[in-house]
Amino acid sequence: MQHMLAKSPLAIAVASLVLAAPSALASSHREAPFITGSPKVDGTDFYMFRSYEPTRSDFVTLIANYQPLQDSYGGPNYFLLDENAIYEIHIDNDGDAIEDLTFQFQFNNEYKNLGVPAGAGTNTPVPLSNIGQISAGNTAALNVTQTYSVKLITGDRRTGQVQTITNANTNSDTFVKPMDNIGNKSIPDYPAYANDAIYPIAIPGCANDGRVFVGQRKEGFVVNLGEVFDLVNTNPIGPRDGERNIISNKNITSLALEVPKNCLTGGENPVIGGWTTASVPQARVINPAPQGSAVTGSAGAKPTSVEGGAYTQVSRLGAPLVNEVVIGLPDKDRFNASEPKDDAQFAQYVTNPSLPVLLNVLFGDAALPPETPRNDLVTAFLTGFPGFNQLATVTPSEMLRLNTDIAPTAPAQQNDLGVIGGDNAGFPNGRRPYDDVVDIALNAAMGKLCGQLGAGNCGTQSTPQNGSNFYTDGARAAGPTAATSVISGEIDNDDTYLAEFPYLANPVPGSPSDAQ
Amino acid sequence: MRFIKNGVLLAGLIAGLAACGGDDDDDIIPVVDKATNYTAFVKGLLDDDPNGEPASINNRNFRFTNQENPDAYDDVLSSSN
Repeated sequence: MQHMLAKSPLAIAVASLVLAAPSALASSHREAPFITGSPKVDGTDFYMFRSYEPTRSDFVTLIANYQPLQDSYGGPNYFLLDENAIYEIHIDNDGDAIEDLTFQFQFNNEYKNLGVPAGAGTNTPVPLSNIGQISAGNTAALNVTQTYSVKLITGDRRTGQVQTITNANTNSDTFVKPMDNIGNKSIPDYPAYANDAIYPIAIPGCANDGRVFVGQRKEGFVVNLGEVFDLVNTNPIGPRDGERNIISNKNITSLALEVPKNCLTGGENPVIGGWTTASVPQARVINPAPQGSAVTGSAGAKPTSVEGGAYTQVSRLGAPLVNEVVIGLPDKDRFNASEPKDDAQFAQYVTNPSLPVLLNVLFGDAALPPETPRNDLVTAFLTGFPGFNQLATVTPSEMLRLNTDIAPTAPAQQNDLGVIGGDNAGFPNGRRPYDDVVDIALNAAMGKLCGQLGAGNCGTQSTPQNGSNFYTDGARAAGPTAATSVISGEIDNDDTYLAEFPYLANPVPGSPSDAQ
Repeated sequence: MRFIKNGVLLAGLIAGLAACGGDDDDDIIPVVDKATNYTAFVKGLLDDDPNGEPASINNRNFRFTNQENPDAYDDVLSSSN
């Protein structure tokens, strides 16, 4: 299929059009009003791709990022995940827009209540997350540890069969999330410390082991964020490397899984759809007088809040930028609470999008809105491309779709424009860290896909709108890995990724300050 | 939960019937309070099955009777640790 698409005259035409151009948006960071009050459960990016680490090409990597825009110096409590929430990655492998598999993560905080002798025979608890250096295999000085479990749920995410994923070496069902990157003095070798928390996992019903990692990473999303939201205060048809990636010094929390690809697919069709959600208990009562609490583990402790009731979804993310710039403000919270099977309620935002009209208002003839209805965007966002990344049954629904039969592209050959750059292993065939989804989405919004690659027309238009214009926010990553970076313009040469699982780079340290 | 809601309705009904006993122009026609007691509702939610369906709140009007009562949830808080 990859071969077929790569040779398609239409694919070549579109790819040439894009690449001949000189070489607006955050994926899902704080994108809806309600979720801005709950950053711990705010999903920001979702990646799904055939693993391109050598020897791992028969695996699919799934990465769900949470907690947006973390400043690395955000101590002393840093960025624990919500132990009352459940974080989930869902897979639909038959096309009914209902999850067939769910990987469910749940967290638990463990406090040591470390203290120091402060005179008069007292041992005074410290206010910090650590009181000494931490390294791989030596975490005695760590005051707080977050552990987690991972469940595989087959069928409905709440009523399906629940099975436990275990450490393939120890059979333990508990994994450790490494402490965030406090700084170089506390954790001198963060990469080694974090790598110690990559676990081989036994997945029920799966012949081969996978891997799991949950921990802080350098923000992998690249965007000229401030200018984009300031009425696109930049030249949208300028150079792709002419602007700063303003979130280059931010961190994120990643939930990363590597799963054998044949454990994710269903039937003959190699395409899977994926998305992530976070849910919290429906009721919460805040304690006006917490006592000791779980924070110190003291006897008679009373927690800061009591939470209970049915898990209620508050965050949803599949393809990038959908709730950020496609769904209108009145429906953003509803989208976060919704499921793909009910996406017909949002159809208007895809068939008659507001973004092209806004860009036209801002930039006139340089950004002409394509005709509507935008059936090209229906293909891109809701159905997948026929014969490429479309599921066996086509139920219009928003999710990230990956054809697992298409071989991964080695980092040195990856094109950050994905399919429209001639690299069929990239977005919108799944999504890799290096894919410049902002530029891809901007060009799709402005009509680059009208009638192309099997996509529907834009109204009566079956050819790309806006001629050879190439739209960009002006920010891009330096390369897929440090060894294969293509540094140019205003691009930060630290904006690269790892060549191996979990792919997103090690987090920016909290100190020294000049490292940020 | 259902008991509490029925209790509120019953109390309103009794009050309404009692008010119908006279023909005084000053009679007050009572309004049956159909609002949901927020405190009781939340306490009920806390006991719900985590894997059940979340309770819909779109068609409820809530009555907040404990906004000045810091002890309203003491029973819930004292049973948790």
